Amino acid sequence: MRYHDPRLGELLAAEYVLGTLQGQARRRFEGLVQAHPDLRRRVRDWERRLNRLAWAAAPATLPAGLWQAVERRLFAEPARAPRWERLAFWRALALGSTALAGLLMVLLMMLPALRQAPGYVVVIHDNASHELVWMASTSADMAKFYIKNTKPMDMPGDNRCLLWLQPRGSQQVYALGVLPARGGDMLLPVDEKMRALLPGRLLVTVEQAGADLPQHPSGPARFVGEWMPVKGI
Amino acid sequence: MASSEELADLLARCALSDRRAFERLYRETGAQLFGLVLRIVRDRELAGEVLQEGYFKIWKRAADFDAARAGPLTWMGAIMRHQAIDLLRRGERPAGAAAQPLNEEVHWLADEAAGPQELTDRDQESRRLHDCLGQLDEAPRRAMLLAYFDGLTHEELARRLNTPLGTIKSWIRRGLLRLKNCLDEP
Repeated sequence: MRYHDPRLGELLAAEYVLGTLQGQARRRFEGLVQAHPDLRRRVRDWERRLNRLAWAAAPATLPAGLWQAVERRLFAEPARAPRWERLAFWRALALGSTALAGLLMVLLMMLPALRQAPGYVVVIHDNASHELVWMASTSADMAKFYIKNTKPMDMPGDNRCLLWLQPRGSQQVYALGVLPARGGDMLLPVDEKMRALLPGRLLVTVEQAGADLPQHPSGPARFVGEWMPVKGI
Repeated sequence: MASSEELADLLARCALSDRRAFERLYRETGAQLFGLVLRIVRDRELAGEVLQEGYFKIWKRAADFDAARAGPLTWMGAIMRHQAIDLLRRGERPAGAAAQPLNEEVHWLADEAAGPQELTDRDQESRRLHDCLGQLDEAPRRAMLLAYFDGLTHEELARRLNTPLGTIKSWIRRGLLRLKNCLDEP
């Protein structure tokens, strides 16, 4: 896009705020806005101009229970112990005892680094067999994950494993990126907008390869992640 | 609804993690923002989800609110609309919802409607926006307001208004630029 063309930048910012920019163009523009302060300013200016219309919308009766849902989403501490502190989780994990031994080894090896950068360790296991398939670590700011595939998978060449985030209390899922599936490791950067939604439920699905990340998973999650805060070290 | 100053004060207290201020902010703005979102997504359940995500972001980003740049409802409306439009563009609105004619029209379209007067009483800048919209030709103004309030794409507008796509695109573009020139006049 000729984003340095001020007239085009102005028009795209206006259509973005109005909502008529769509599909690939909308996503591409969102990427450009992150990188270009001038476009960010134009978007802000258009929001200031157009969103005064928000006053003109007719108010509607709020659904009963919505405030409670908002409150739960924001403030509710889990009434029960987190899953990783519950016996059932460890029993399930212990089903793959070799995996557990591997997990402890890796954790021990990571200790010195974690001491300097408190954050989270994530274990992602197979929903059916409970085998450990990926391990990940991230610092508290969630800017990126270091992810290692601990159990290489035999998959057709045009398939890939996709990591999704389901924010707490939400039904929506957002694609975070493609995971290494053949024994490799990688650094996965996390979009700034997504960081605020972490930690949430992490899910992995197997998807057909394509140029872009899909908007929705094509099937149920085959792998599920568990968060473990780094503390007491 | 509370005044802009009161809402700005509530947002400032939210930035300091004041949960009671956040609850009051929700009570004061929820119905207005729910109306805005519901009009776009046309489904109460989806609108509820959008509102949940939106208020989550409002709480998290309350410290970013800058009263010198935007009014509090403008700022919150931007967050909610962004969330709603994103959901639409992911194709999560029930099929055909956008094609359904609405019983109620955007009341800005009707000069005699009570809305604009209430609005202009509320804040000077909104009066300016109303005047500038009033200077546009009726058809482009209608297209822009339907895009804003109903979240319609160019193609959906072309179908709804029974107008060629190229004409819709040019109405919107020219309308937006004329609106900017009018609003930015000293």
